[in-house]
Formats: sequence, C-alpha cells, structure tokens
Amino acid sequence: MAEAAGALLSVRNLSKRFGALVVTDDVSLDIAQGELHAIIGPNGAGKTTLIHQLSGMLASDGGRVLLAGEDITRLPMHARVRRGLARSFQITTLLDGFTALENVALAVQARSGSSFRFIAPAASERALNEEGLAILTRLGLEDRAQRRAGALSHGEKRQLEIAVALATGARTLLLDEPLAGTSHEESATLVALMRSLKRTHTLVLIEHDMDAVFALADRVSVLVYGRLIASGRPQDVRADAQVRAAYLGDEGA
Amino acid sequence: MLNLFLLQTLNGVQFGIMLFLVAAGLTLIFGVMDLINLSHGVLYMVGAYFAATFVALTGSFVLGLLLALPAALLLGVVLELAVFRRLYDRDHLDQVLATFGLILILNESVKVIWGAAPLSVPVPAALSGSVELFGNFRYPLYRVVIIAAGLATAAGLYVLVNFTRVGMLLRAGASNAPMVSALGVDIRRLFTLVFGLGAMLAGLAGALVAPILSVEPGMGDSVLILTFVVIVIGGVGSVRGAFIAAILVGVVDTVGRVFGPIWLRAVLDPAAASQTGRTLAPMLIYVLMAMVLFFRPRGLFPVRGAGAAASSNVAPSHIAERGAPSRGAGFAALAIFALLASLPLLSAMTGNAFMLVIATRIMIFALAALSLDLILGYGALVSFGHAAFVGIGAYAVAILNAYGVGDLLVQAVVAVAAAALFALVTGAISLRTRGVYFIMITLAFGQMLYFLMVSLSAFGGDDGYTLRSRSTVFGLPLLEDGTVLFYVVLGVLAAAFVLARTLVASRFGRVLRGTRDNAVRMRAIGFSPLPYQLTAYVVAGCLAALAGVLLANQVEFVSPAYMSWQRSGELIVMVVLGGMGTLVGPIAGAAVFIMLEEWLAAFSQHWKLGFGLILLLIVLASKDGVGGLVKRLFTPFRAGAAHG
Repeated sequence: MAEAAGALLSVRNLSKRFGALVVTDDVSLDIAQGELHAIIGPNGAGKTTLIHQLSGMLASDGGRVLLAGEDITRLPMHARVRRGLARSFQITTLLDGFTALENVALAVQARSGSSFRFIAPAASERALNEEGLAILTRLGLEDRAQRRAGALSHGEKRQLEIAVALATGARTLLLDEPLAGTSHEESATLVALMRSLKRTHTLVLIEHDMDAVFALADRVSVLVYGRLIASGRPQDVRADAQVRAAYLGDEGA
Repeated sequence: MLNLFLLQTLNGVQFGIMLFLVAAGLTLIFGVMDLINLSHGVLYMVGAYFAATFVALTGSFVLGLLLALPAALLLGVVLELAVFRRLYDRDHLDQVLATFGLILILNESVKVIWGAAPLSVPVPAALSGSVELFGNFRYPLYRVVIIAAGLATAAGLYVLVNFTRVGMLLRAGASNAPMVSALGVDIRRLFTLVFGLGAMLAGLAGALVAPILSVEPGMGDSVLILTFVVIVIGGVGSVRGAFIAAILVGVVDTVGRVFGPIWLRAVLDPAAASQTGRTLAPMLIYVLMAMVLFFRPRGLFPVRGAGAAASSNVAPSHIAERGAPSRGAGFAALAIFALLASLPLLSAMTGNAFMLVIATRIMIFALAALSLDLILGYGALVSFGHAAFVGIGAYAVAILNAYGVGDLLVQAVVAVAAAALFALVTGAISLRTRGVYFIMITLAFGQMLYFLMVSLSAFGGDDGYTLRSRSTVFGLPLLEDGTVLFYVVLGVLAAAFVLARTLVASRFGRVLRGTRDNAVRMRAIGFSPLPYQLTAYVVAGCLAALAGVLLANQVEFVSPAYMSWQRSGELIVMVVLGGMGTLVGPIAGAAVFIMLEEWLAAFSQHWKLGFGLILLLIVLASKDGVGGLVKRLFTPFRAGAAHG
C-alpha cells in the first residue's frame, strides 16, 4: 500500500447502499500522484458506483474522499472538477447538439475566466477554440471538429468523451470504461493516449479489457460485491488466488 | 373568540377535505403515469354540474349524487381513452399544452351546455340546519357530512392503496412504472382505472360542494392551483402526503383569512391591519409552499424513485435550433422587422387603422413570448408563471400613474427592478426543484401575485383599473399617438431581440444551452447550473415586465387577468407553436396566436372552444410532439437551421 501521506487521492472507508443492497462496502484506497490505478471486477461489482462517489455525482453514505489532503466528500461534482478531479462516463454523455469542438471548448471555457460574459459570441473565442482543437488533435478527432457530437460514430463519441475530460484541465481523471465499444484502431489510440497521460496525469481506470489494464496499470485493485478484495502491483494481483477465484478464473485466465 | 377559532378551523378542515378529494386522484396520476394534467380541475367543475343537473332532474340530492359519480367516472375513462393515453410517452411540455387545450374545451363546453350564469343546488332538507358538537358550539350539519364523507373516502383510499392488489400495483407504479410493465402487468388498464378513479373523486368533491358554493364555469381553475400546492407540499405520488398537505393548506388558508387581520391588530392600527391582512392572507399558503420546498424540494413525503420529480420537462425534439442563432434566422428577423417598420405606411394607405392596433398588440406579446423563450427554449425551464412578470410591468405603470409618476422611463425602470426582485426570490426557490415540481411551483408563484392584485382594492381588485392617461416621454404625451406607440414598441422588441440573440451566443448563453441539453455533462466539466439558470430567469422576467409596461399603455387599463395562469399558458403556446429555441419563432408564434384569437372571436363568443380543439389536435397529431411538427413545417424555410 502506498503511504497515505503521499497519496493524491485517498479513499477512506467509503460506503454506499441502495436500500438493503450494499454497493460500496468499506472501500479504502490510496492513489499516488502520477499513478495509473486500474479498478477491475466482474459486472455489478460496483465499479461505476465507486466512480460516481469519487466524482461527486452520488453522495456517499459513509467514509471520506480526500484530494491532495483536502476532504472533498461533501463537495458537488462541479466543485471537484474545479479542484482538479474530473471523470468520463461509461454511457457517453455529450452535448449532442453541439459540435465536437464546442463540446471541448466549453470544458476549456469552464476553467478560463468567468462565464458570466454576455456580449462576445463564445463560438468565435480564439483561445478556447485553439486549445479545444489541440485536444481534439491529440485524440485524432481534428477533422471531426465541426461535426455535431450526435452525428459522430460510436467510437468517435468514446474518444470525444475522453477529450472533454482532458479539456477540463483536471490532473486526476476517473475514466469509466473508455475502451468499451471502440474499434481496434480507436482502442490503440486511446491506450497510447493513456500511456502518454501517465507523465502528466493521475488516472483511475475502470476497464474490462485485461490486456490494456495489465499493459498500462501501475497498480490494480479488484472490486467484488462492493468490497476491495485485492490491491497491488499487476503481477501480484494476477497471481492472487482469491482474485483468480472471484474474477479472473471466470475468464479462464 | 375560541368558538370562532373552532368554527374557522372546522371550515378549514372541510375545505382541506375537498382539496384532498381532488388532489388524491391527481397525485396518483402524476406519480404513477408521470403525467402533468392541468385539466383535473375541470373534472371537479363537471362533477358539480352533473350533481346540479341530476339533483334537479330527480328531485333528490342522494339520487343526484349517486348518478353524478358514475357520470364523472365515465367522463374520466372516456378522456383517458381518447386523449391521455396518447400523452403518457410525451414530454411534460406536450402534456401541458394538450391538457391546457382540454381545459379551454371543457370550460367553454360547460358554458355552451349550461350557460354562463351560476347554478345553485339546494342543501338537502334532511341535512340543513346545524348540530351541537359540544357545549354551545354549533356547526352546520351539511359541512359535518362533507367532512365525514371525505374522511370515509380517505380511509377507503388508504385501504385501497395499502392493502389491495391494485394498491400494490399503484405503489409499485409510482416508484417505477416501466418495471411494473416489464413484470407483465397490463399497465394500460391500470392507468385507465387510476384515471377513472381520480375523475370520480374530483367529481365527488365538486358534487359535494355544489350546495354550498355556486356552480359556475371556471370554478375548477382556482381549485386546480390549490391542488397543485397541496401535491407539491405533500410530495408527488403520495396519497398520505396529499391528505396531510390538503388539511394543512385548508386550515392555514381559512384561518389565515379570518385571523390574519385580527392578529395584525396587535402591531398595526385597525384599518391598516384589516387592509394588510386581507391582502396578505391569500398569499399565506404560497409562502407555506415556498418554505416547505426550500427545505424539502420534493415535498413532505417524497415517493422514492418517482420519475415525475427527476425527468426533464422538454424532449430534445422540441428544440427547433440546438446551436447558437444561425445567420439564416438573422435574415428572417431583419425581413420581419423591415416589414413591421413599413406597416404604419401601409395602414395609412389602406385607411385600416385597426391593423396598427393589432400589430402593436402582437409585438407586445411577441416581446413577452421572446422573454419566455430565453428560459423555455434555451433553458428547458417550463415556467408556467411567466405572465406574472407581464402583470408586474402593467401594475407598475398603473400604480406609478396613480401617484403622479407618469414618465415612461421611470416606470420602466421601476417595473424592471420589481420584476428582477420577484424573479430572484421565486427563481431561487423554484430552481431548486425539478420536473413537474418546477412547473407547478412557478404556476403557484404566478397565482400568488395574481391574488395579491385581486386583493388590491385601491386598484379595482378583480375588475381592474383604468389608467388616466398613457405614460409621458420626457414630459410629452407622445404615446397618445398610435403610430408613435407602435414605433416605440417596435424599437423595444427589436432591442430585446438583439439582446437575446447576443445573449444566447455568448459564453453565458452557451452554458445555458449546454445545461438545457445535458445538465450532468455541464456539472462534469465544472459548471454549477443554478447561477446561470437564475440569471436567465431574472433577465426573462425583466423583459416580460417591459412587455407589461407597454401593454398597460396600449390598452390604458390593467387587470389581474394579465397575470392569470391562462395567460402564462398562452405564452407557452406562442413559443412552442413558433419554434422553441429560436428567436424568430416566438414573434411568429405571437402573431399566429393573436390573429387566430381575433379571427375565431369574430366567429363566436365561444372561440376558446375552437382554439382548445386546434391546440389539442395539433399536439395529438404530431407523433414526436409539437416540436417535431413545427420543425417539419419550418425546416425547409430555415436554411441556417438545416444542420440542427
């Protein structure tokens, strides 16, 4: 386990229940700055719920979340983004009526100056568009910039989803199954992107693609029925008997 | 004094019981079907008319009541099969429009069938007189019977909801209707049943009060608003919440009206106390509602997982243009304004002075509709109280005029300031709520102001108030000239159009549009929607107040009717018909609406019947909602919107 003092994102005894169902059960986790931490687990293990709690979309029933030592447990989602913790969605959540560029530029706008500006047309603000276009280019979406997000292919939407999270400027990103539904090529782009992001960002990754997880992750945590049953270096987790029984064994890995 | 208090409390309980009977069905319809039904109040009215008719026919109150109930049930079932069944999978906005049309149809039909004059039903002889409840305290027997009948119905409903199979399905449906349907329950039959039951309960309430109130067209409207207050306080979908909230509202309203002035005497002199008390008492329940919602945005007894509170009010198909205003729409606007500017010339050439009057009226309502579109079309906020801001503007002119302040600019500044303040306070409370709560709470705030103006006897109360003259501009009576007024209105409308167009394309407008399309996405990139929505709400209110200032000047008359909820509904109709989320749309919508109104009114005094029918048919005929229809109609003409 990483030292709590050095951790950028610390989760302490976090819990969430829906009625009698315990979805997050006393989860504690430390993620160091610059780490790519993968959270894996079978379907229904509560991975997305955990991301919802970390990002502030769902209120927790117990426990604490600390970002760079600050208790952010009670902060709403938008306030966490301002403090540098942003997320992507498993189910694509874009502004379908806006162009790809505007989706990204709006996220840039959120952190560059006040949005209580009423006169100048936002769509022609050069600084916002240039930064947005740079991020789109990083994901290979530059020739899709003027297309409506709703008209993009499924894989392109998944990429745009990551682009928007990047555009928030947050240095800690919670990525909820970024590879789901992407083509082989798009998937390769995203894996390469995540690898390059490791130099600048702290990443929490939920992913079902085990090849990607074991290729990218510095550490892996395994969530089963809302409980963290293992956490450690990829090769250790892979060898863990409990993990093999609960999860990896299912796939015959 | 104690006896008076007891008497008024019992009157309040009796009133509350009535509200409960209407609210019980409505809260189930909201909760189970996620349907916002504005026309529930007219079922109460129809129940009273059925009772009046059948009592007169049979000569027996009991027989009349027994015939009125199945008649109300039948009407409910017929309406469900013919209309409501087609509305369940529509968004709230379509439901609002269709049931608003239904109100016009039913209110007007009642006038056609029974006439506009009130009917009265005699209190049955066996139930007349009063009984001694305790000591020397006597209370009218008929009211005791109403309370008893209401309590028996409430008990019956309690058993039905909590201990029967149907009740189990109802509770399950209120929590998650698609799931109940997936389990193989015939949800359509359940819906028909709930609807029929709700109609019968509302009819029962109407029939029971027929002997103590006058039976007249529109009697359902005021009850509907109070019912909304009850449902919002109680929590949508909760019958228990409706019962407690109904008694609370009934007692607070009744006792407040009688004792407000008496209690105020402790701090004011008697004359002022009685005047202030009379003015403030009708607002008490709205203050109560605001307080409850401030602390509990989903009411006292929120139903877990009720879709009614969470879902968005406006489906994306409603929005005619999703991006920033297009160049094509700008050219269309230029053409419209150029045409309008040449109208006085045309009017002088043809000698048709009336044309100018109508055009001025259209532009005033276009301004009000344009302001509503800022929050409705660009914010997806279905505000059903927007006419209140028009009223604030109109009354600012009337009140300042009466105190000798006749200058248009001063009046406009005061009107805008008052509207901004009202929007800030009511918006801050309303925007904490979601879904049907938002629609109902804005409606209730609008009504609060309406009743305040009704109680302003110095300004004619209900009857309205005639201005001594139009406002002056720099001391000159320029507005007395119709052409000058026309150009002033045109100028204000054009300025508002440019302002709105700049606003929606700006950083602020982009955040507003983004929030309309996907609030979760906006939060996830770091925006908190509330400040932006509230700002838009205030700006829209201020522009609507300007429309009110101009309206008061044109007709030289103000009346609470300017801020009635029907007026708010008409503004929504203008925006939706013209094309939400475009700025030319509301102007076109206002033009179509006003001309249709003029044209239909020339045919018959019952023109609202025809208007309601047209509205209802438009909503029902367009499968993807009115928005889809408007889009199909206008897309060929909107080159710039083709990508949207």
